[in-house]
Amino acid sequence: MSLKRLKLGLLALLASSGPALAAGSVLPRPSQVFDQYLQATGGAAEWRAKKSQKVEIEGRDPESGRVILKAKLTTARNGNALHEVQIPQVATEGVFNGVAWAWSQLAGPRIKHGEDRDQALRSSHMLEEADWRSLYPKSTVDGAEHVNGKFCYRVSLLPSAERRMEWFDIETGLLVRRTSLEPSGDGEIAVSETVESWNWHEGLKQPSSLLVERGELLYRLVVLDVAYNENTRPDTYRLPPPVETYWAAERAGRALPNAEEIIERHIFVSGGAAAFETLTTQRVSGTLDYLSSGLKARTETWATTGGRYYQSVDIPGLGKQEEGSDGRIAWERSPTLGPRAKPKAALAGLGVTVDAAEVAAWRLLVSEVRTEALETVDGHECHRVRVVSRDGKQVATRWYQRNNGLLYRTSMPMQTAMGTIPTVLTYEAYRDVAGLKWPSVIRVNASGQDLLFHADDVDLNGQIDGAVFQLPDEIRKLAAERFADGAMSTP
Amino acid sequence: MLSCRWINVLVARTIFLFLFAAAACAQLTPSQKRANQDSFETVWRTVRDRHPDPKLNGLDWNAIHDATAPKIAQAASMDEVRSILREMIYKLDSSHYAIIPAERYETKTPSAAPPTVGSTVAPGPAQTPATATTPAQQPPPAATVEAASDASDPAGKAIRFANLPELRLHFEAKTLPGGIGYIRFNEFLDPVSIMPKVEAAVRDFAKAPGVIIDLRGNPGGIGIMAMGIAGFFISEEGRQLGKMTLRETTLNFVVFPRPQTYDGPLAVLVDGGSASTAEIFAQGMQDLGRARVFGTRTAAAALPSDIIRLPNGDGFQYAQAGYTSFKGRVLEGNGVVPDEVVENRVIEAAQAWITGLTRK
Repeated sequence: MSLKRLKLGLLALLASSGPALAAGSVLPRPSQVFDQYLQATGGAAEWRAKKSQKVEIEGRDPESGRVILKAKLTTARNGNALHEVQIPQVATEGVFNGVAWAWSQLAGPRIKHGEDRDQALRSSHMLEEADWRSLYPKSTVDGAEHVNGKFCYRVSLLPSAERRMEWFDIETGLLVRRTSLEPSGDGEIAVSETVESWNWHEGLKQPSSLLVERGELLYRLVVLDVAYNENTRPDTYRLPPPVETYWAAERAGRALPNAEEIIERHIFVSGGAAAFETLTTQRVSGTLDYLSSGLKARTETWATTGGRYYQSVDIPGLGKQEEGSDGRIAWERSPTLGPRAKPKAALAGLGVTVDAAEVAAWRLLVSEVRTEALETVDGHECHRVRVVSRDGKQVATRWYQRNNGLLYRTSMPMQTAMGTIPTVLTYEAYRDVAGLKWPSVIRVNASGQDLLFHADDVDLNGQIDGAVFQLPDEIRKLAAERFADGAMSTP
Repeated sequence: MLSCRWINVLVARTIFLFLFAAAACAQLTPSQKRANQDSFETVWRTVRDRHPDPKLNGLDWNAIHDATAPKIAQAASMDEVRSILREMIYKLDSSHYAIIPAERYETKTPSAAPPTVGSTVAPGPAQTPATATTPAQQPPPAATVEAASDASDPAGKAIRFANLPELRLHFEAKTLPGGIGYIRFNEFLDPVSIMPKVEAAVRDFAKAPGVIIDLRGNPGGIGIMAMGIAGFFISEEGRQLGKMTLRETTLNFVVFPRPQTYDGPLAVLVDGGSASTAEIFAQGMQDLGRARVFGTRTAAAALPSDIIRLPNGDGFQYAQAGYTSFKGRVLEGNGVVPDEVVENRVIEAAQAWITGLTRK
């Protein structure tokens, strides 16, 4: 979640001291609208008297009341800023003397560059209402229309990279709504903020509650506390030690890219988050060679949304090993160990499609990612990234190729019913399949045993006959007996 | 690619292929010599990297390499090469190390007379430095008490698995006097054919006063088959036969109960020819209090192993994990000690125990 976007809901608002114009009249100049807003919220002098601002905010799901955001935002008129976030993740970011930075418990420190930096600098403008003439000199009043039951002027703030628009109540001069387009990895996200209530504090009238729509996310943003002129000392905004260290390394040309950026780049070059999110079916067939023992197995994997999954591996001498789920019951079966219906906890570890969706939502699954090194693996220059699971119990290491951003290798402990198997997967021969980069060769080392997987057919988002996910009769019977208490998996 | 967790699932289910099977003088051409040199390096490196004890039982493995390499280079025949390699690996003093001549992969096992039970194979390491053969490859032991033959296929089923040479598989299930069930098979291999037969036998013996599983002369095979067969006789979830310890991790031999289990008295018969997976099964069932073990001490050769093919065509079996039973008993070098040590008339002893329980 972007602090910058949240902050937009708190940015100072503009007014005009001129008389309100009736609908159908000639549209006013932007200065009239802005100055009316300034006047309605305390006056230009009061706005300019504020040298710093500290706001505590909380965002809640309007339906469930669940807190999805909690943060403290401190900004100074000179452009320095410090944002401290507790929810959804512990993170800080800010601007100090033109250096835009971020640190998160998830991914550690990074210095912002390019558009990322520009956006941070733009959003660090404190109480910009008083400075609108210098910030948005080419603004226009585009029309008058009803918004949220109020007749409003629609104003385009120009120039603004985010294409910001604001609606002001013709009668009161107060802000009613503002919209913008926020850059994201896959394009732009539409953001809309509608003011629901106002509060006076230290001579300024500011929104105290806003309804925010950010893409598909809807939440109510409430201002818990406001304080002015408390944080005027530059030390308040100084880079925290880990960021300072990182910044020094970057200036010396020794800094490694932030792990979050590496993973996002991987997703982007693999086809983009949207492509993963829209992945509904997968069918992969190929061969699995057990290199040391000379065995070659045939494998087939089907998966679709809802956790439905089926995989078979036919190993000469061992027979067909099967595993699957109909979305409710996870199961496995082999000639050696027989049939087994698994408790629903096992379902979480299954599913190709679930996996794919997790690619875009990877932050929900991990508690920490860190770039550890730049090193050469099999002749490939790779960034080594450490990934810690959400519960902190599992640590995986991934190597992302520096030249193309693709994942080259993963090393992780694989949990099985019999214990943990240290496993190294090496991804090779990426192919383009349905807009995604797909590794057609995967080398596996599992506790010292070498295997080689060759995908000879990969079909994404194709038609899959649902019958393939139906439970075998013996599994159905077994599950009915074993989970008679209702402990089976639920969709 | 983050979305390849399915490959983990695939690997997780099929990685347990560890074998627990206790396992020629022409002039050499230049290419054969090179292949032998490569084979030596492969054997030396594999032991260095995969032996369950990273310290290699205290051996100076580098010094052994330097002392052995010239001998390989000067070897005049394949037999001599194998002898040198065996001399090297036997310094480890572990079972499950063997050099399997390439000829063994080329020739079919002759259809032998069905093996007999009451094995006379002496207890001890599964293979000796001189022959590197497994008990299964020993000449059939002399019959002592009861012949147990597969009436439908007296020669046994010819099977190949992974890098094992061809073997003959025998299975027998029958009802003994008093209605006691009796199951015997000579290798823990070919689960596709063996497990349904065990399942059918367990179904047939559902009302039997007891069941006897005869593992005498059984040298082992695929380790997870011990877990699979135990699942027919243990109905409680979460039980374990034991655990194997690799350099990187420890894996448990978890028993997954079958839909239908036999819960009555169970006797397991063993002797000096019972090795590896057979020992793991017998000791695990004994530890869990699920079976009473009859016979003589087992081969004391129970290390998870793998077999690879060497550049010169030979096979190389090497241990890659240690094994301890559920109660912590190290089988390697110790073997399974029966509850009732019986050298002769072993089946009768088991029958008598079951009958005695029935009378109580």
